[in-house]
Amino acid sequence: MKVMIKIAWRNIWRNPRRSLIMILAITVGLWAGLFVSALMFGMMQTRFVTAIEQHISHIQIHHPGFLIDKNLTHSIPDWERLRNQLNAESGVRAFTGRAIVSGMLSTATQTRGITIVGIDPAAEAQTTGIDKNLLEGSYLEEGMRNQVLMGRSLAEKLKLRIGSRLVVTFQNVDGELLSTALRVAGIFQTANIMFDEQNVFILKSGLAEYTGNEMLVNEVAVLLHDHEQAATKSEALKAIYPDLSIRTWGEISPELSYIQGMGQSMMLVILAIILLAVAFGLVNTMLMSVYERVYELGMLMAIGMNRRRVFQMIILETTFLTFLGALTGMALGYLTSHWLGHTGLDLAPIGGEAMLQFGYPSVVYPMLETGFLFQLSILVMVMVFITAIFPTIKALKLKPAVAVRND
Amino acid sequence: MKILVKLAWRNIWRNKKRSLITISSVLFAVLLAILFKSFEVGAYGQMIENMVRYSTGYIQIQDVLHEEEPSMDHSLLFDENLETIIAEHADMIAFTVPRIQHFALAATPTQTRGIMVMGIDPEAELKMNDLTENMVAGEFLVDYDPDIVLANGLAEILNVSVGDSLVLLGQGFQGATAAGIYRIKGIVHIRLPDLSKNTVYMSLETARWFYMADSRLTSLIIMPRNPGQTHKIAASLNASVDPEWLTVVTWEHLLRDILAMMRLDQVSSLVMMLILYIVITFGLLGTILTMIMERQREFNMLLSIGMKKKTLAAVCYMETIFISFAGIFAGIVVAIPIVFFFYYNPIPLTGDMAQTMIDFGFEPVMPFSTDPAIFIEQVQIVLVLSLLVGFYPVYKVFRMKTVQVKK
Amino acid sequence: MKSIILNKIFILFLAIGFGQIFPSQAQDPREILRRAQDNMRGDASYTEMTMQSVRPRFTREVSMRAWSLGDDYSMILITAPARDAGTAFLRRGREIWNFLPSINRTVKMPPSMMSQSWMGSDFSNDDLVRGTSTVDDFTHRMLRTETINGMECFVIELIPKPEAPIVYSKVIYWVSKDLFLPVRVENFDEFGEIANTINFKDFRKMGGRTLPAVMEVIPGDRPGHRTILTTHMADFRIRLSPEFFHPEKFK
Repeated sequence: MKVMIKIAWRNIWRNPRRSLIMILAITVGLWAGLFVSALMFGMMQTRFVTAIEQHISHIQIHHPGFLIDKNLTHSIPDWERLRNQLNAESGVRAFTGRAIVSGMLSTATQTRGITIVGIDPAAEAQTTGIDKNLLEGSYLEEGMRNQVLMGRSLAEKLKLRIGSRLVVTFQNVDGELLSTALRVAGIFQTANIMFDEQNVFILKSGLAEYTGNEMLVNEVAVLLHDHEQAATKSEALKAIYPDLSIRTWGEISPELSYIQGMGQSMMLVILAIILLAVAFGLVNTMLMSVYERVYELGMLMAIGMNRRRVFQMIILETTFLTFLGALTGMALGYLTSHWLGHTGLDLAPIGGEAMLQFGYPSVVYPMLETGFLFQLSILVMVMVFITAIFPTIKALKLKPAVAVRND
Repeated sequence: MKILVKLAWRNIWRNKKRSLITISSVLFAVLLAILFKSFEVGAYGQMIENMVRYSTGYIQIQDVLHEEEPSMDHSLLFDENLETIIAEHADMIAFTVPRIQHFALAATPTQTRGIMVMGIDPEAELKMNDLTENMVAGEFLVDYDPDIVLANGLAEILNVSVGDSLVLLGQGFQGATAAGIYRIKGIVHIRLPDLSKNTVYMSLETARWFYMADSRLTSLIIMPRNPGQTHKIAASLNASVDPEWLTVVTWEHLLRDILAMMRLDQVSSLVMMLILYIVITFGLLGTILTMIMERQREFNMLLSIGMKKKTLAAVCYMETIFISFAGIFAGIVVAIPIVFFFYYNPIPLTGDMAQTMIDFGFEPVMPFSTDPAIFIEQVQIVLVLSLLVGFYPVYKVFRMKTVQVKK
Repeated sequence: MKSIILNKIFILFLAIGFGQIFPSQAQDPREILRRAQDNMRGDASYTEMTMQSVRPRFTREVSMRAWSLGDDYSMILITAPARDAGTAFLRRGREIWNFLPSINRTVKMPPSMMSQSWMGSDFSNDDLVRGTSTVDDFTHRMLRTETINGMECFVIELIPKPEAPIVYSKVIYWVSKDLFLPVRVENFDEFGEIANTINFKDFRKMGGRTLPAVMEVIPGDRPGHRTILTTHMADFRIRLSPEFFHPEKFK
């Protein structure tokens, strides 16, 4: 066996160009497969994370009545207690309490139904990063009076700008209709146009002036460190607050899990097709190389090497080549994904501006999980192996005499 | 020239195996590119079709002012003129779906809530989608039905059931007050939460009477026999209707916001295709390279007996052309049945994701498209790629030193 | 009411008397506005009116009878056209109830309906409820005097104070010098474009007071749209009390 190994190894380097071609083919295939997966995965993650982190967070807590009618009467009774608890909870990355009421926004020419969201600017920034989505103007700050943040699409529809004056009308806790004038302090854009059109942000303390209740909160959004913990955390909370509606992102937005799932199967299909491409390329290259060596193999068999040994030799050669190719491919794949994962791949030149328009970053961060890396590489290697067997068997069927004459 | 062609042709068939391998490289390239694209187009098409079927339809006829301000005053008159125009296009139109869709207030003794009235022709609606098929209680509407059917979410919010009466108020045509009490005949299960919480269905005639809008519609949906002809039909209709009153729009216009968001997906698909092409090219290159190496001796011989380099190069290139064409042709021949197979038997999806898809009204399958444009486009690309790769042997030929006659 | 007429005469007398000595006092824009608004209001009133909604495609006319008490209570009963006859609206503070004879039900109007147009006119339900904003919501400046529609007027500019719930960025008010009644109001948006114009015409004595019989609202951005409210008869001597303004009274 040892001898065969040596022979196999030397065979490879005897014809460096041929060997390099095959190694290259495997490398490129594996690298492409890894990179594509990393890219797709990274894209999906960005989308997913953006949707969750910008809007719905991981867990949302409400008074059950709020889900039917967004008014201030359906507030969370235990806000202080809940707040202290969430502060102490380890898995919680950030959370924020909001005072939300549906109302109407009037300008000199138009009136529209909107949702007024009273926020705590610091907590909100930590939970949804809305401050980073500001296109113009400035973020809300405690102490500022009568300022409002508005989505770009809404501002456009109402023909408003920074500094524009508008009046909001809403129902107070006692059912009384209140109106107040506001000025547009900042214009934001998130990845969800519908959200931008419907929601405006003011200071929660501003609303408190009317309700007389600083602690009035009717929506709590929680951001966890690990989104997969959402279900467990929410169950734990439900046990403590049985009267509140506590929902995970999956429950709030089933479309998101649909898109995740859809994205995953699409990725598999794409990967399958690319791997098929790699496989076919390899098969052909292998076949070609076997045919090229017909003379040499015939010679070997003519001088006495038995078929089993020839088979071993070729298998070993294939193994070495595959390993070399796989290692290089994996290394390249890992390196490029990792490097781009840090600096990001800017898709703007090939149409990524469309993404910017929607509040998505145009930069994609490919992500490669090491587990996936190995899984894929092994898959490729197995594939290569199988593709090598076919031509090898072909080669074994050669008759030495005929082979020697074939040139 | 003719001799060169003959030479090239014979060269190919001189070594059948080698040629077949190369042809198969091209074949697989074409096949995979087509499969990939067909899947992408199919998936996109499926999403579009679902949106079209469940909300806007392919074509809509509306009052010119309706889009800007959807009020009953901006409704269209469905008179003989319009009927005639529709009849003239009968061969291209599969069916029409008339609708009156407008805001109203639903009042129970305890609540008042803003809702959407959908005045429909029950039979026509069913032809378009199955939104109204899942009755939870009671029965669905029939033609000229005086009763109403509620979406399940709304029924729950208002706390009403079959047999109860509901007061509806609104603003009718030309300022008339719309008011009526209606008996709830049934409750229908609507999947999409937004629709479910806000929709009341009534027959077209009842809606007309409610809004005092005799012979009027807010929109007339036109479903073509062949969706590919949507634009043609829309253009023709637009030319026939009175532009002062009516306008004809397509789904592309009505769904433009959502479509813009979907364009993002296309960016990622583009990246995938690029990588696929790279992989394919490498596969081709590998095959060609090995082939060249194998024929070194043959080339040397030809050059040393006097063939000019450029002649040899020309012959080589012609071989590439023949092989490419053969490969492409074979690729199409193989691709067509496969694509059609998947078109009629799409790959089913399973698990949670499939369930979510069903919930949204999508069929849980992976769709493929049989649009000929896909075939043509991919063929063109692969052709270009193979012809480019074909330059490598030419380059090699020109670099050969005639003295190198080994073996 | 007697007291108002008395007041008016008294003030007029004062103005004439002191006008010579303190001309600036009579020219104070705030006072002028206040007087104009006081003159338009009253304690209790009964009026019969017709409202015409003019649109590019049609014109609709509605006739009604209205009772009002102070700033907080009013009731409107539609008398024509036939299909709307018997419809009634009740306002108490900022709440509106609507009675519909066709279904014999009374419905309270939810906040979401407030921005909808009232009876198809250019008034919104909200307009009905809000009434006029107080003079104190603005800062005032006298611009000039001008004659329009044959009446000499003070022209006053009003800028809303930052916190006042007024959607307009600027309002220009024409007040008749003789009658101290509004003749025209122009509301501007922040871009300086006219959001809407209100004209008061046909000043005559009704119910013992001089009032504009016609109020015309012209929205700024909708060509061909206009609403014209014509008062045919007014009675200010009627006695009304808050109990009158109750949903039960619809029947």
